[in-house]
Amino acid sequence: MRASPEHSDEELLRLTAAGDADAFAALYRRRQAGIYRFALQMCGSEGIAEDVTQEVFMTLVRDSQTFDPTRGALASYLYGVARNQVLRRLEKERHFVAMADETAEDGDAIVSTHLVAADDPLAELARSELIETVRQAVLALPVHYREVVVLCELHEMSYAEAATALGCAVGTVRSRLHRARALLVERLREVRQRDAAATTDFDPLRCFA
Amino acid sequence: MMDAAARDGAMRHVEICAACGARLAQERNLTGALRAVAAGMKDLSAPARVETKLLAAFRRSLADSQAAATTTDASPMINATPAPVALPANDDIARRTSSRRQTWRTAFTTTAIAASLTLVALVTFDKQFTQTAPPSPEMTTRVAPQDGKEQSPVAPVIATLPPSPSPAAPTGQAKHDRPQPGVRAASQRTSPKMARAATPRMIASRQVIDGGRAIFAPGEGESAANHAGGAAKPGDAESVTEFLPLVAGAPAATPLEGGQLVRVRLPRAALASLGLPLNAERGNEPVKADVLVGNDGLARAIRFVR
Repeated sequence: MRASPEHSDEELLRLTAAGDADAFAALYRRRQAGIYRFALQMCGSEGIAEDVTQEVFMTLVRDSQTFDPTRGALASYLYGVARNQVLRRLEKERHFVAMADETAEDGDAIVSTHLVAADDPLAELARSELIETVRQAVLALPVHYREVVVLCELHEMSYAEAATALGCAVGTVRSRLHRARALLVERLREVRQRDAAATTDFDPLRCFA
Repeated sequence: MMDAAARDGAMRHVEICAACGARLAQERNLTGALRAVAAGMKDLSAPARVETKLLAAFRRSLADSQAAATTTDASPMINATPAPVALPANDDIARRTSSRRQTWRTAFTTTAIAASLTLVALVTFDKQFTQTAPPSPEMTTRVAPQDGKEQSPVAPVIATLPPSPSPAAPTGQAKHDRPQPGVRAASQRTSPKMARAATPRMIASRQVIDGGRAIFAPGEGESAANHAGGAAKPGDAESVTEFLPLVAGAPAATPLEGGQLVRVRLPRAALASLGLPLNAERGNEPVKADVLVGNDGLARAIRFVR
């Protein structure tokens, strides 16, 4: 049986275990982007995200029998493996997280996306700054809050899927997400206030011309 | 999903409550910002080189598995274990994984070898110790001194033999077998030489109680010092009391056919129970003692060590 886009993840995994390279390639192409983005959003480093993605699919090649379809979808399993890899890397390379505070010191303004017009260059710039600010704020969250934000908000997973990936209860995901959002609001408000203060205290240089 | 009625109620409340209105606006801003982040990163994916490496690794592992399966079919008894997944040598992850497996394999092999060596050592030690155990009468006849010549320097003297002047374990031998200070084991049975030296030739001796003091009446040609002092004296650094009997009455009639000298620690109160003076200020400190335990398992005598 040849691998095709219509195959489910589980079928592709079964074909992969049987030695079908096309099935493995199809499964990789279907899931790699999400895993890569998850790792990138969790650690903020493209190098680590690349390594993690590679390790996740190597794990699938080596230990595909450890996946139990009765416990959840393959996507959740892959996110769980990625999460473990990310945590391991973060433990080793903490400096990748520390950079978040450094960048956030710049004082980016917070702009609501519904106010942004697509053809407005200034608004586009503000939007880019907003994205970077929020991304850094997410990276500055404690890991157990960061992972629920990434999964539920950035990857639009349901609470149940996130709970499967994280290996915890749905209630835990809910409460962590609630606290994480509160921390994010607080963090972004600080940035906005700092930005407003910088604008107010602006003292232009005297022109001697 | 939120109940529509509850949502409408909440929205009406927000219109009249400024604090809740501000909070709702914050939450909306945050949700919008997070969506912007997600949208801004939605096109990101792993570089193409990752897929290339993974596919190469997959094909390589597949080929190795098939090769291993072929080998297994050819000689199932020799290569009965499933083949490990072999990974490309130029793949970092493959190298790391292979290295981890190699480490585990090495650790397992080392542990197995260490366990085997320990087992061999134990068996060897047990054999040696068994050879030093008091022989049966049949054996005794074979090893008994003949014509005044010593057959074995460690052969015990048996009561059924005529008294012989040949010392099976002369004092010099016993001194030679003394343990070095500081390395003495709790039980002297752990050292075969010490066990030989510390095991008195009991049948030739006769346990007597002489005013509650010294223990062994020597056989002919032997002195009490050879038994208790020479053979069992633990070392020059220690001073010991004489043996004190622990079993009253019966031992005098029951010959001591062999035994062990066991080093123990006792509460200092044991001194008082044997009628010895006790320093009350050091009552909590333990005291070292050598207990002479017969082959019948009975503690025959004790001496204290300082």
